[in-house]
Order: sequence, then C-alpha cells, then structure tokens
Amino acid sequence: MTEDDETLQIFFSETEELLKLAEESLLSLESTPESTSDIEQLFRSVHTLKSGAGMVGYMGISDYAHLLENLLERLRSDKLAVTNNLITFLLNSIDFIRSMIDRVSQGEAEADSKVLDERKNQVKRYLGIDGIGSPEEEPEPPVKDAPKEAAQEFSFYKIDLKFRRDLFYSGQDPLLILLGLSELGEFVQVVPDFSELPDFENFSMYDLYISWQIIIKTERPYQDLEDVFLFVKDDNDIRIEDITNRYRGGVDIELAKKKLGEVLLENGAITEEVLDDALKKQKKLGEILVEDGKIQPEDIEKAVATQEESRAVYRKTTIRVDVEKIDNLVNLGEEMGIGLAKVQTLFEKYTSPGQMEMTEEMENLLKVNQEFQERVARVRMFPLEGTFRRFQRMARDLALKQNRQINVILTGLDTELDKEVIEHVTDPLKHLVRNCIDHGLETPEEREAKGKSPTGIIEFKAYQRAGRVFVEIRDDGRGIDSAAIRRKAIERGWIEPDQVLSEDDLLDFLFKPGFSTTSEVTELSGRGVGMDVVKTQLDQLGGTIDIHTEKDKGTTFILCLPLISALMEVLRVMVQGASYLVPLQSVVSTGKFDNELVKSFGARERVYPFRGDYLPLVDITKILDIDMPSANGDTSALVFVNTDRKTFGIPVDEVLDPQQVIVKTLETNYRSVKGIAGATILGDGSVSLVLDLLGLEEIFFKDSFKGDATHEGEEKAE
Amino acid sequence: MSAKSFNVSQDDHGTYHLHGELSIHELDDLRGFLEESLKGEQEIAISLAKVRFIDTAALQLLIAFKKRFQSEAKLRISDVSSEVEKILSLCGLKTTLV
Repeated sequence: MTEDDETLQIFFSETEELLKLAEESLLSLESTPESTSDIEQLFRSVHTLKSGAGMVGYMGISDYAHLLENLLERLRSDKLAVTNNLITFLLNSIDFIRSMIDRVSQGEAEADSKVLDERKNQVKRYLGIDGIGSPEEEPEPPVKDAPKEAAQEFSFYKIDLKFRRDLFYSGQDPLLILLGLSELGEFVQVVPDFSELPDFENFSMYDLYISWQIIIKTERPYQDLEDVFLFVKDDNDIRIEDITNRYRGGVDIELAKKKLGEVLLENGAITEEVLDDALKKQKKLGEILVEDGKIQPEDIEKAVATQEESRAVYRKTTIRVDVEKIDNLVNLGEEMGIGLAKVQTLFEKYTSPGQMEMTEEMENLLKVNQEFQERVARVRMFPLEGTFRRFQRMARDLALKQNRQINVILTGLDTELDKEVIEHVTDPLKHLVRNCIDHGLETPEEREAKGKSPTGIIEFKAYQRAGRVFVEIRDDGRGIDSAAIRRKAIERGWIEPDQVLSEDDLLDFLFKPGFSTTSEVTELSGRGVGMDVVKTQLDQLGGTIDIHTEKDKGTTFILCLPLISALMEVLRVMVQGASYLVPLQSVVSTGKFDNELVKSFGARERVYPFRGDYLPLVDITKILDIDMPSANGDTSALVFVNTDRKTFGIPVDEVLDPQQVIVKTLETNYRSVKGIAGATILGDGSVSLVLDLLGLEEIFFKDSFKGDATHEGEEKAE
Repeated sequence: MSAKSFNVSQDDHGTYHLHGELSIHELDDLRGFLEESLKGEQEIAISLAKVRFIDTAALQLLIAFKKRFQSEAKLRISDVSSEVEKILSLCGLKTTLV
C-alpha cells in the first residue's frame, strides 16, 4: 500500500465514523432540541469531514460540507430553530455525503455536477442570504503531498526511576545511575518527585525518598539504557518507555494538551507548593460569573456535566485495522498453540533431567498462548451499538413517511458480536424493521381508538445467552393475526381447512416462500422480499428466528445468532471415541448412566429420570449421523442440558474437564451444519466439534414430531 | 568518629562555607551542623562554592532542612561550585535547593 493509499484509507474510515457521529447527534437532537452538546458534536463532525475531504482533494465533498457547516453555525448561534424538517434535511445531506464518499471510493466522480449544484442550492436556501460565504472559512487547499518527516536518528525515552527506600544501604546512589545515563545522551528533562518526602519529624536521612522522571534524547539502542540499570533493575521500579513518536521534532506534543501549571511543574520551574498557592488564589470562571450575578449555579453544574460527558467521548480513541491482519494473528496464535502442545507431549515422552521445570514452563507458555488467542479473538468482536443506531435512524425515517409516531428504544448496545456476523445480519434486521413499521404499527388515530398511546414503541434489544447472541425487535403494534395466516395457508393449499395447528406452527408459514398477508404492496416492505428470505439468510449464518405475537399487544422477532470464532466455556465429553464440546452455560448437571433406568417409547424415544422428571435422551450419534457401530464406546454418563426451551440428556462415554475455547464456525471453510456450532483446536492439537444445542433440539424435537428425516440441516445448507 | 571529609568556615558576612565532600558518611555531622546553626533566630546562609562533591543522601538532607524552614525563609543556600552545579542539574534539583 502506498502512502497516498494509506491516507485515503484513513480518510474513508474516519469519514464513515464522522458520518455516523453526525447522524447519531442529529437523532439525539431531534428528541432533545435544546442539547448544545449534540449540536457541538454535529458541528465538529462536519467540520472535520470538510477538512479531511479538502486534504485528500475531494473538493466537491469539502465544499458541500463547508456549506453545511455554515448552516450548522447558524444552528449553533441560535439563528435557526431545530425542526423535524431541518433534521430530515440534514439527515439527507449526510446521506448525500455518504453517497459521494461511496462513489469516490469506487473511483468515480463525487457527484454529477448538476446534482451537486442543486444540493448546494438547497443548503443555501436554508442559509438565507447572510449565511452564504464566509471568506475566512474557505476550505483548506488540497495538501496531497505532505512534506515527509525528516529522517529521525534520535530516539526519545521516558524513564521513571522509583527506587527502594533502603537503596543507600546497598551502597547504591541514584546520582551515579543518573550520571551513567547522562553519558548515553542528552537529558531533555529531569523532574525529581518529592511527594514521598515525609515531614521533617519523620524524615530518616538514610532512607531515599526522591524519585525521578527523565526524558533522554539518545542515538543509542534501548538495550544500552537498560544496561545502566543492571544492578538496580531487579528490586527497584524502573520503567523505560520509548516516546519518540510523541516527541516529534524534540517537542513533546502532549504538552499542547497540558495546563501551564503542569508544564512548569514538570520542568521544575516551580514547585508543587508554589503552584498550589497560585491556584488557590485563582478563581474559577463559574464562581466569577455567579458572583457577578450573570448566571445561576445550577447552570454551571449542568454545563460542567455536559463538558465531562463530551470529554469522556473524546478520550475514547480507536484505530482501524484490516480484518485480515487480525485473522492472521488468530491463525498464528492457533499454530503456536499446536506447536507448544506438541513440544509438551515430547517433554512428557522423553524423560530427561529438569523435566519437571520444563513441563512447568510449558504449561505457563500454553496459558499465555491461550490468553493471547482469546484477546485476539476479542478484537474481532464489535458492539452492536453502531448497527442499532442505523436502525434507529431507519425506523424514524420510515415511521415519519407513514405518518406514524414512534419511540425507538435501544438496549444491550454493548453486546458484542463478531464483525462478520454483524454484517450478515444487517439485511434480515432491516427487513424486520420495515415489517414492524409497515405491518405492525398502527396510525396514531388507530392507536388512540384502541386506548393505546399514539406513539408506538420499537425496541431493539441484544443479549448473550447459552453461547449465542440474541437480538430482539419488538413493537407494540397490532400483532400478527394468526387467523389470517390460517386463511392464507388454506388458500395456498398448504393445509386442510379442518387441520388443527398450534400458534407456533401457523407462524412458521410466514417464512414459507410465497407468503404475504397484506394485499397492498407498499414502498417499504413490498419489494418482493418476504420473510422467507430473512429465514434463508439466517440459516446461512447458522442462526434462527422466532416470533412471539399477541393481538393488539405487539410482535417480537427473536434472532438467535452464533458467535463466529467466539470464546466459549465448554465441557469436553467423549462419544464413541471422538471428543465433543458442550457449551457449559447450558449444562445443568452430569451424572452416571444406568441402563436400567431408561424407559423407551418406540424405536427412538428414550427418557431418563432426572430430578423427579423424565427427560428425553438425545443421542447425538444418531442425530448427527455419526453412529459407528464398530467404534468402541459405552454410554457411561449423561450430560443434562437446558436450552431455555427444553431440558434433555445427552448420553456420553466419558465426561472430561471444562475448558475455554475459541469456536470457529464451519461455514467459513466448509458449510453450516445444524447441530454443530463450530469446531476448535484443543490444547493437544486435536480438533473437537462444539455442539449446537438449539440446533440439536430443533432436529430432535421438531423433526421427530413431524416425522421428517433427520438431515434437514444438511440439505438446507447445500 | 572518623575524620570529617568536610569542614565549615564562616566569613565576615556570617555565611557558612562548606568545604570538601558531602556524602552519606557525613550525614550525622552535616545534620548536627545544620541543627546547631538553625537554633538561633537569625537567617543563615550556606555557600556550596567550595564543595567538590555531594551525593544524593546529602542533597536530600539539605532539601529536607530547606523545606522544613521554608516558611520562615531561614535557610538560604547559594553559590554552588561547578561540580555541584553539574550534579544539581543532573538530578534536576537546582531549583529546589538553591
């Protein structure tokens, strides 16, 4: 990747972030129009975007953003009121910028010049005459070729020296260490710290109380610095940090963020007491304003709270990394794990002196490796917040268009999901949101007639359970009319008029291709995409969908999603000589298997007594079609699991230790297999399959009920 | 007690001049001298112009005394030798002590 490419990459990812921020603040502004922090965030986002676009030479985007910025300036200075119309207009403008970004990212022109001019004129209409053109705010000229950093020969290190209090007793003196250090380069800054120095009465002159922080500019390698501390390194707190990057050009760029007092203090120009004294004399701005009667104390508290909030947001910095890089790390970590496991087996095989220590070290290494793998896997996980915010926006727009009033509630925003899963679940979710607004929510008049609040509710909710992530979309609308579904199903010839079906079975018809309950095709959901597509997309992902609905109370869609390459606590069991992993979260109990206690009904149904109940036994060898009569293995134990819907027992040959593994789904490299959540490589290098209990349950209970063959999952995946 | 490696003299203005090396081995003597000279009411001035070496322990002791009498501005340390100057800048202690 060339440097230019990289700059563009950064621009694109930053812009996406900025557009999201802008959108977020617009939506929040709509509900709390007086919120100055939202206006500020909005303004900052657009401003940064404008400069960024100018920097990489996209002048059309930059110009347009500049106009928007002027418009926002009017909003900021209270010359313009926040109205629904304005918010809609601004949201559209953000979309327009996004479309321009999309185009340039594909190498096309930013926008048709006519379209761009028209868009600009729209903004100008809002601006009025006085808003047009503010010459001092011209967009920065494109700076495509930023001057390259002068080659840097020096490094800067920050060294924190905190010695043991009894250092003098060992014949050491910090002075000699500082002297040794000073021979390696130039001290840019030496700051002694007396904070440990006690009162004169408690001062013991043979103890050392002073510690130091030094910044040194040197051409010498890190190792040379470390060598200076050879004799004191072990029992003293010495930290060396390479700060070359923030010390560009020999000036600490962090200073820009610091307060004058801090800088003076660090330079040793003033002492802490002097600073404290001076600060005590200084009055806070708020106090002055209150004293002068210009403002009420509450107003200050409010402003300070907002400020704190925005600072907290500001501090959250992130970097963007190509997913491929992370995947490489994941794979390397795995390979390292396998290698280590192999070495460990070798150690155990060949007796040699020092074997004990080596084995111990190996175990440590394996643990470190495990931790490493877990941490890397977590990098791939993203909170659902961003996705939810997009849907919040979408729901709002759709509802407005249909003259529906809604209140969007988001919960579980920090629930994390693998990025890939998030991407694949976006489309199904989009469809469901449309469904809620188009079919679920009534008009305000209808709602009032029913005695409901005119404003409907759509809630997005995410949470993790049983090793899976659940996403719910709930509305408080009219609910799904099961009688209507029944009529349609009879019409289509799927069922007989007198056939008795449960509510759930009726709802299942919604996912059948060719089903649609409303005859009128709307702009929103009538795009020829039915719920069957949602179901197919979720199947491909290894997820499921459930519907709960009640007349005039509302509908809830519950999506159950897998965690790709996710971390899971599992219980390892052996079945017919192969090892399987059961998600530990769902394990209720394990116990000995006694063949005498089994009761059977027919060829397949077997039940087993458990806590005063008879639970079905789910034989995974039969369900997964891995029954190998030749394999030796006797059922000697049972694992009882609870999937939230059903509790059942799984006969196994042996129950081994619980452990934590990173699960990889099979479809990445193979295909989705119902009943198997994924696979993992165990510490000893062997591969083990992770059972998908919900999938197993579905195959066992549903399919055996309907009398289908047991391989439905496989057929679907093809 | 072993021979002192530092001596004290007083000039016509009453300023104490320390001579020689101030190190951890002289802490007792140094402390004794400081306590004795600070007993009176008047401000005292100490010159380090003739000190050839001072170690961290001795510096720390001087700083402790200086901080103790800071509010009364009773102890003034001035005139450091080039050797001491170098040590003070190395440790970043110049502003604290002088």
